[in-house]
Amino acid sequence: MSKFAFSSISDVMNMDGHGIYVWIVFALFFIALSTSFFIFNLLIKKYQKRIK
Amino acid sequence: MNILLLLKNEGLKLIKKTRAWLGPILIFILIMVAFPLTVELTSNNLSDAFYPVLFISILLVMMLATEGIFLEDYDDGTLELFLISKNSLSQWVFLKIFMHWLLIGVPISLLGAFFNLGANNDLSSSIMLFPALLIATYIFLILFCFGNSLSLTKGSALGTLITLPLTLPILVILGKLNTAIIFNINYFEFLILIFGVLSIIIFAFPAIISRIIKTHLE
Amino acid sequence: MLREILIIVIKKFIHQFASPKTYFYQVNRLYPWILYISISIYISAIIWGLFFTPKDFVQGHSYRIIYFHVPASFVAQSLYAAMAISSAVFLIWRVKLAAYLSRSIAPVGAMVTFIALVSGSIWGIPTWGTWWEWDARITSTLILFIMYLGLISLHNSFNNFEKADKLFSYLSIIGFVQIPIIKKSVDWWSSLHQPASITISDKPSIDPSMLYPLFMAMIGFAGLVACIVILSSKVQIYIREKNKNWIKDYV
Repeated sequence: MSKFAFSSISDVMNMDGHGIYVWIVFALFFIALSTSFFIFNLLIKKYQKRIK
Repeated sequence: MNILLLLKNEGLKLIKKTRAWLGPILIFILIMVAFPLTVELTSNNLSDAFYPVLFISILLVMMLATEGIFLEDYDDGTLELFLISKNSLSQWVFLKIFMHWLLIGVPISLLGAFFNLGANNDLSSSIMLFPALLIATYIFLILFCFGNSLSLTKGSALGTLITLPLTLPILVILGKLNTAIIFNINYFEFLILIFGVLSIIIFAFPAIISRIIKTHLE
Repeated sequence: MLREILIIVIKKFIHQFASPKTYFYQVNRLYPWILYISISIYISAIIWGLFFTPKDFVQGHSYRIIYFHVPASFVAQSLYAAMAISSAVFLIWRVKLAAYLSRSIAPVGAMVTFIALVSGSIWGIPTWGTWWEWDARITSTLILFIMYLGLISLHNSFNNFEKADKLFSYLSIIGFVQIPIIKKSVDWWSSLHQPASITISDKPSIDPSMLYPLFMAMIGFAGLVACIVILSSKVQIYIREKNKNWIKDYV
């Protein structure tokens, strides 16, 4: 479909100076999604134990 | 019991509780008097800040006016009486809100138009502001009554907190109305817009509020 | 005659599926499928969007935040709509499961709205030069976030679950008026926020090479959020049905 948009790895990290924003958002989404999965699984375990 | 009698009863009940209707009006006057004191004497853009302060203080005063509006009726059993009698609860809610508007909303709108005369020295803008304030106070009253009915037994802080987001679109329209009044463009369109909002919620919300009160009484 | 049979069938179906027990078992079966499929779609969409799409002419590389921001704000609004619909189902047909669902959507919706807001304001720094602007869309999304928090606090302030569910449903249905306001705010008020790139009626105003990964990211993100909602609804079922026999047997 389309080709790789960057020439090197440092280019990927930098993204013409905009890299920091993109990667902060990436980290935010990663953390938010994974912690919510983690928290709800934890809650499920907690209530299962309570019922037992 | 016919409607007029109900209205008279509600009015008498409200007038007896001086704090409930005079308190909000006095607080409004105090805010409007105190706000010019916080502006520096030399600056002559008092009128720029006037409208935002006016709208926000109206919002806060309406919040105060509806504080615990159904609580007393809940405690003394009036609400349960409505549940078992033939009178419709939504009609009573409508009349109660209307009475509050008549005793608190109308004077505050008059005072707002009057203070606008002081801040802007312009009679025509006061005349334009007055109907907008009448409509806005009614809308705020209805919305805060809705919040108070949700948190009937849990204190009015929670109720106002959860209905405050609903009032913000009205504030946005009022902000637009402010520029419309100053430049005298599109004034009637914005006025008709908030009047349309009012005409929807004026009959819909009493019905919803009465259902919520019934939920509380179950 | 036919209509009556149809009504009976629909009622039977609703009552069967709407029992928390059936829901619980069906969801347990479906959950791994949704999770793995949406994870793979989302990851491939992100890789495609971040590395293999061309640079935007105006915004440069910072436009790549679109692959996070747009799905999140789309899902934030859709979740509210879903919550309002299930609240309406609860109030009309008294389906208990709908009340559980709408309560379980609220915290997830708050989380998604929060990350949509934060990612939007981070995106604002390189493109608008400011991280917050009091314009219509941003403000109304903030209102949506506050709505979610208010709903949660309303529900938590009552010990009686039945009363709490009813009040929660009334408020969420009334709060639904916010959704069209958010949707249309960029068209009604001139604002810094760009108009929607994708609409149902018009051709998308965005190049296909950037559009396909965006669609994939939306689907994948929606699937992931659906998984979180499923987990959250399981928590609700554990809380509410803790005295029932079937759940004791299950545990």
